[in-house]
Amino acid sequence: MNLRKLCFGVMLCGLASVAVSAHHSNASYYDTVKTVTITGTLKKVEWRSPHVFFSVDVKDANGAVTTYGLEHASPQSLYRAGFRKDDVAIGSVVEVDIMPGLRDHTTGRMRVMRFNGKKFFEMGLDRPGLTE
Amino acid sequence: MRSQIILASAMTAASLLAQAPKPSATAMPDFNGIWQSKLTGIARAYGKPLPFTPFGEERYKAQDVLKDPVGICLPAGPVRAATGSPHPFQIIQTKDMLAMLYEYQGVYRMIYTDGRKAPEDIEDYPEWMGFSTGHYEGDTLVVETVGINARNWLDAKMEHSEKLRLNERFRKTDDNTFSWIVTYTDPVYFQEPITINYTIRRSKAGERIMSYSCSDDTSNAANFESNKK
Repeated sequence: MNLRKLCFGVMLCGLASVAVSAHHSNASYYDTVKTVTITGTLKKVEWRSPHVFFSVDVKDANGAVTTYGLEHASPQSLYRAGFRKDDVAIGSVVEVDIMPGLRDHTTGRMRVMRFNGKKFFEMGLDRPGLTE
Repeated sequence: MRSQIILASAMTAASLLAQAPKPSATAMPDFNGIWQSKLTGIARAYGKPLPFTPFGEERYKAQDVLKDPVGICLPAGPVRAATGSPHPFQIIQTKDMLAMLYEYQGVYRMIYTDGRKAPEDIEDYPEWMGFSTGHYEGDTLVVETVGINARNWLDAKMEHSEKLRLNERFRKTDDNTFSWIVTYTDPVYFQEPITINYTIRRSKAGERIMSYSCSDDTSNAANFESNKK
């Protein structure tokens, strides 16, 4: 059994990565200076506390799919900023700018999602949420 | 006769004065409402080199920020719960107490203004929010907080000891703003007290504090686990 499965559900287990980090600063988990852009299909939106998570399936040249787990601001901050969980339909092809994960490149902190050329879920540094 | 008239007038006047409404005490400043701090931390808000003790400086430099207690959902403490996140908080105030209800973590603190004192054994039984007593000096609410559990941090990097005491002064600078001047006294970490003036702004009309769950995130662990297949 790999260590990650063993750690599932155990909050104090450091290897369980950002899913159980609850509310650490971005700089603890992501490269806050860099921006990486991924393109894939929106698989899931988890409108949960303390952070909303977006899952995006990215297909490589060989057709292998990697699911990226992308963290965003709190549901309260997103709601206040006018965003709603169904702003982008599941299954949509999306392009996402992220702060890449420091330890796991398939994680990231979302900067902005683009769908059909329009921007969604963009939060500026001067608006609540991105620095959570 | 004349002296009787004077006496009667004096007694009437005294009687009228006794019945007159007493001059009202200065009205208690009204902090009720929903408020917001800018997200900040101690070093940033202090704005100059912190007067660490050698021990405090060593601990700060070696701090492992991944050990931040809020990361395992331990309460942030009476100031950080407001200033350490972009979430608003609500103040509900009566003459006997002022409650701060923080959206962040869904925690709260009570500031008792009914004249009570902190329990004598509070330092043996510290509280995540400490024990706060306050009184009004004109337009300012002055608060003393003791017995803050040393397991929480002052911000995302700064610890404190069980000896930490806070002096807080809340004063409205206009209808929609108040200054929250916090003096942190912790002789284990700081050579002298440090004072920070946090500016707190009223949230927009119609705002409410929403529910929060710190631990709900664990439901997403499967998304990260699946990347390792």
